[in-house]
Amino acid sequence: MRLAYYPGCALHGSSNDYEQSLRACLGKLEVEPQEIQEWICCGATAAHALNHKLSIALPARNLALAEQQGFEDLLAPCPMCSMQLLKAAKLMDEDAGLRREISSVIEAEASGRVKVLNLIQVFQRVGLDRIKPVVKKPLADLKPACYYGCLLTRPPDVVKFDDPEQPSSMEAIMAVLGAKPVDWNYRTECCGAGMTMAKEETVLELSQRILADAQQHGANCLVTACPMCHVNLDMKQGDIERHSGERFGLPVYYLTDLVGLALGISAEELGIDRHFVKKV
Amino acid sequence: MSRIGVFVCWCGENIARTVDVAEVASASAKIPGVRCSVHYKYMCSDPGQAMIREKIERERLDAVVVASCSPHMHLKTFRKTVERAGLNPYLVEMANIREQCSWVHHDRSQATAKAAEIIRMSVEKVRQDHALQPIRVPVTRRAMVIGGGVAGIQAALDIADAGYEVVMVEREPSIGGKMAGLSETFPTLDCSQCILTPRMVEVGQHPRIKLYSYSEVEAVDGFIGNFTAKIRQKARYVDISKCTGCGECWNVCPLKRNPSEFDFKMGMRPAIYVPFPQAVPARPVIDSKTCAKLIRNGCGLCEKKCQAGAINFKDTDKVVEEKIGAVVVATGYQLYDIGKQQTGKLAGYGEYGYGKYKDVIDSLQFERLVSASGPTNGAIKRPSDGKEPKSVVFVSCVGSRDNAKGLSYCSKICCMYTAKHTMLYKHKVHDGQAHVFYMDLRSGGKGYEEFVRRAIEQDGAKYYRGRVSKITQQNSKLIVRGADTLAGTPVTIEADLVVLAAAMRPSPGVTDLARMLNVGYDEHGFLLESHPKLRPVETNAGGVFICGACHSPKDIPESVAQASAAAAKTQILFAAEELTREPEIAQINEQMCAACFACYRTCPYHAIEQAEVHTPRGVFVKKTARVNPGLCMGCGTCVAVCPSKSAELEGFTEQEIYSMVESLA
Amino acid sequence: MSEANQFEPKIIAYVCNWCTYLGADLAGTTRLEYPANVRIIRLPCTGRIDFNLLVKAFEIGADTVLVSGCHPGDCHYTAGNYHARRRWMLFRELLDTLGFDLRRIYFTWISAAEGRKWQEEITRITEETRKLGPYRELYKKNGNQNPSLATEDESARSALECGGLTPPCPRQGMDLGKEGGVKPPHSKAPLAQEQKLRETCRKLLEDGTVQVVIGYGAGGPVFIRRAEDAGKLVWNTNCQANLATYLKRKEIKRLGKAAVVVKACDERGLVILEKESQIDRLTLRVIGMACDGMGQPKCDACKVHQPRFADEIIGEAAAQQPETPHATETDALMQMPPAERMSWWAQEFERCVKCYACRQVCPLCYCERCIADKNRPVVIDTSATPKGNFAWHITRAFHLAGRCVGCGECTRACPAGIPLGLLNLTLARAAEKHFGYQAGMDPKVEPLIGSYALTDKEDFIR
Repeated sequence: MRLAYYPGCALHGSSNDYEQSLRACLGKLEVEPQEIQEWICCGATAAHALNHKLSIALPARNLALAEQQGFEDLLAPCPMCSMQLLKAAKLMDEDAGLRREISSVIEAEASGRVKVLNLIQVFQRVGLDRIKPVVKKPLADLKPACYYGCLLTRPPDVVKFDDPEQPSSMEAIMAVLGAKPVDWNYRTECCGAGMTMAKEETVLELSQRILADAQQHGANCLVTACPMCHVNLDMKQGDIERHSGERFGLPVYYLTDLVGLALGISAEELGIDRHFVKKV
Repeated sequence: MSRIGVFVCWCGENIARTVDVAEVASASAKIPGVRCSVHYKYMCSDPGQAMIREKIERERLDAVVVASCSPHMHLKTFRKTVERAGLNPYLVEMANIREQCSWVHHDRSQATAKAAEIIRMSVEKVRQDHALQPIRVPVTRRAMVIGGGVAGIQAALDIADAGYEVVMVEREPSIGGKMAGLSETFPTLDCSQCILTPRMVEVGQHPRIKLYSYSEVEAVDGFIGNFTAKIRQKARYVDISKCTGCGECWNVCPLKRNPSEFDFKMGMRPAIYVPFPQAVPARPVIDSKTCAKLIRNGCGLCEKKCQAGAINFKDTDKVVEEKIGAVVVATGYQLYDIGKQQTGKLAGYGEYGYGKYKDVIDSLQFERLVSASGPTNGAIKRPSDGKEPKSVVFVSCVGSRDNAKGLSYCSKICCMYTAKHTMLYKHKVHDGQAHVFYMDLRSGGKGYEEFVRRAIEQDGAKYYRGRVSKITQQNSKLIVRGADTLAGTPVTIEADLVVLAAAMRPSPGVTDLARMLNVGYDEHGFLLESHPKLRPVETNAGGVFICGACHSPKDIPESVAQASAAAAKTQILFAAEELTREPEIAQINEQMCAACFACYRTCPYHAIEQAEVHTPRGVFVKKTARVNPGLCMGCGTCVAVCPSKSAELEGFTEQEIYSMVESLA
Repeated sequence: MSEANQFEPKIIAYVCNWCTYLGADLAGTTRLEYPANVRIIRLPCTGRIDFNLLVKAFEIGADTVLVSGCHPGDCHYTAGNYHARRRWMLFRELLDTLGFDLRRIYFTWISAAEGRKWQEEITRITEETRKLGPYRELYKKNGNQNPSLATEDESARSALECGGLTPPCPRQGMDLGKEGGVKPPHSKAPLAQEQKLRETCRKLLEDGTVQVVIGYGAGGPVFIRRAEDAGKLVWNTNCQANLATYLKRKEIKRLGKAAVVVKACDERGLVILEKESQIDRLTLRVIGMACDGMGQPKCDACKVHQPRFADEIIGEAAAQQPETPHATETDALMQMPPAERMSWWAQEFERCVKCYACRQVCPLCYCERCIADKNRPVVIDTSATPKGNFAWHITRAFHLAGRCVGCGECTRACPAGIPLGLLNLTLARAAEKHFGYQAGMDPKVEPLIGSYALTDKEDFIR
């Protein structure tokens, strides 16, 4: 399967362990993510707060580039990027005048033919029934709390993915890998996102609740599909523990880490050794 | 008609200000056949009507055109007027020069010209009108009431007390409906069963009420005053004529742990059971899905124990026929099924944890908890561990007023019963705290606002204006996250019990019933009334009336009022010797009819039969279509599909309509 | 306000009593102003509004016609508007083929609560009609001076049913020998089934199963009453007529139980006649003849060479011929702009003398008192004028909507060579397109007019 691949700033920057994991894992499943040439910022962080049209134009250009470069599907592993891309596609789809305007601004035709996928959807495309037979090492000792974060399933009329309040698509993948996902309460609660930089206490507070709830429901790790969430829950776990006085020690895996491990890829190849919280 | 009278009304200023009534009257006088053409300030007034009558006599008029307001306003009035003067009431036409002319155009010359043309059309039409006589149809003076809840009970008692026979059909093993399961009712807090059960007994014992319990209506044929209903009596496996209600059978039944429908699964019942002690009829029924004898020929203890020999495992459904003249539909409601993730729009509220957490229940389930005869004998206990909840959260508008995943309408009763719930809770758990999340407080009935104030001021219920976003569980507490928009903060409450006020929906299967009866229903399944203000309990199907929650969400006082209204309408129907129906119905010229039966296939009321024409000696001449004058509602669809135009619609005949069109040439 | 010489459209609105009429009343009660051009005719239900009323409105000079009623699902009489909707879906196609300006016909659903919608629609309709101008092209002939159009006539006609036995009109009588295995037309050489046919009919008459056999003879249809006359029956490629039409005649019915010889295409008509209670299949004996084509253009696209429901089936048709789509005949016509199209038809109808041969020959035109003969009121002007001819042909075509089986007899019988089959073809294609319906193919399917589906398309209704 050939996909356009939009890394965004995260996967080329502070979360390049995610890219490492993603390439290793998807490669094993014969999925070929090909980075879009000359991609630009998706506008996730500031654009939508400052300038509405800019926030559409930026992702629109990436969609146009993907189409020009001959792709039909586009994987954006970061949910913020995928949400921005889907939002731009939806708004232009509904308003032909807007589409024309944006097309002239980005100097490319924004036709909306490219389908934007998040990581879980890529696994669904491969087919869970085709992943199951190639699982070499079932993750029988793992009890992950599947953490979706705020953007994978919301806003529901934009992303149109899974149930916005009670998603279960990641749990379905865990089941196929032989893990035992726990039932817990904070699947879609905010981790604090970009407040890591601007107002750290927010993250310490919000992410602490997530870790606490996961632990309380018997999880021995978390799994996530968002690089920002991973930073807040993994890299900051030490700070959270110090701030709250509680001990968690919960490894936080990317979804591709767990799929990769189950398929028999080594932890080093997946970059798991680069995570902050190590498995005990 | 060759002596037509035209009467142009000023309607005070309403018409005369824009239309030059004098000019219009004089223009109309020139139309061939018009004998007199006058104008007057208020045609519908006594002097105006007297003028019409006087002109009819003086000028020997044989048809009348009144140019004034809409026929929907006053056609009936003017029909009565001319009838008093000895003219057939169907020889009156109304030219609408007010709602459709003077009130919507401001250019005087244009409006006047248009008014003259409108009158001309009516003159040409009335010229072709036939004198018609009302149609008389016999009436069977028996009513069928479908549904034995409080509305059905009220309607049945009113009709039966007025001296007519009533057939009541109730789907559950006992009548009483939802009200029989309630604890105390607002705004008086009287015990629901205490006020209902005497009426239930009255129904059961009334000499003129024939009760089919555990039965459903399968088919209804016929028309107003002349219905035939097929009723399926489901197999009870207990002969209620022999059974004494002693209770030995359900005491001895070994299968005691079946979720009780009456308790909305908050309690258990045996496989042979009476739904509640005060049931009418107070006779048990066997659940064929769980009874060991019926499934695998085991057990049979109840049969052995029964001294009256009333158990009959070989029982089967029976279908009976009843002839009735009117139908009252009182099928009530069900609650929105919150937990089920339904496909499509009614997606359920999974985020509230209903069905996942045992201590999240809906309002009817709470009623059973609080009810003195309920599964906990009125003690408020958490379903999960039986402990007394010290903090209870009540969530309003679950499914109601929610365009995104619920229903758009307001369920009307939830604000009131939620306030009631907080009071009942507080009366039982003195150190408990009730929290209510609400959107608005709708308490418009008599004493209702005061009632809600009592809940807040006297019984200390805390009200938060905001919705609940999520309910999760932590240890054994339910974490309820909502908002208090008046304070501008999010609110998180740790509750022991959560009660969800689920939306009211019509009972399951009501749309199938509606189709049987030819009654319309809206997109939610609520049955349609004839007119929302002026005819709230009648339907567009003659002889079929509706009352209670099947029409729209409502509380007990309104259901009872509507039930009495439906009963009154039924009695009006039964009061006449014969039924008279408007004669503006279809007719088929049997000589010309080619018997293609396109009309027979098309008629929405199945009012056309396939018939034969015979000579007086009985020799077959030809096939023909024939209209049943009792059933035809006068839509004229048959006329449009008839290729030879053998079908005609009185009041809107081809001749009449074409004359109108051609007058506009 | 209006200038002195501004064109004031004449708009006739047929509305239902319970919704739109009350909606218009509500517009009045709330004093919503709109142009004074509309004249409202109140009927109990849109179900009552026959297509003839629309035609009549245009005949008396309306510039625009509006039909309005209750929203689907809200009909006061539960289903009247569903029937109306289905009727309009088909009628618009017919009007379009004839070149009516569909911009002058509006359909709306306006409820009793929608006073504002009434005001807005009437305002919009009045203004749009004002822009379009008076409807003067109705039935206008303008003349087809364009020579290429004349050729188009020829090719259009050649693709249709062609001449009968002795065509009086010089345009007819074209030879249609087509490639591809169809036997040469008008051959009187007997086909193999003839002997079997005679034998079968002789037996039927001999043992008294029937009293008359309606079949093909050497010079036309024959009505054999005696077994020894069975030899008069023929079967050859001259057997084009649709004998089912005789089943409606009183003089035939009086003869007793009948047997009728039909080709598979004629048999389709019998399916409809049975559904419409005109024949009793228990007493009628149907002899179906397998047919490889009579050399008519309709045979190229025929799907039913082998009879399916007959009591006796004689012969086996050769393998089904590949279906050539009936496409092109109406396509050429539909490429013209509406006014030109109407001119074309006006020219064709000019030759119509109201002989009603088309009506007499059609098996499905069996009404004892045809609507054309009705004079109180005069629905169809009987004179052979443009108005009268259009009115008749519209009515004839639409009364056959969903019923015409395409036997082509009407076109064959027309002494003036008018391509009547084109109109029936339009409606047959519309029925297939919208409802997947083909007349007479399946005895179990309900007739088209008289049934409706909740999913009937209403993109043309506002």
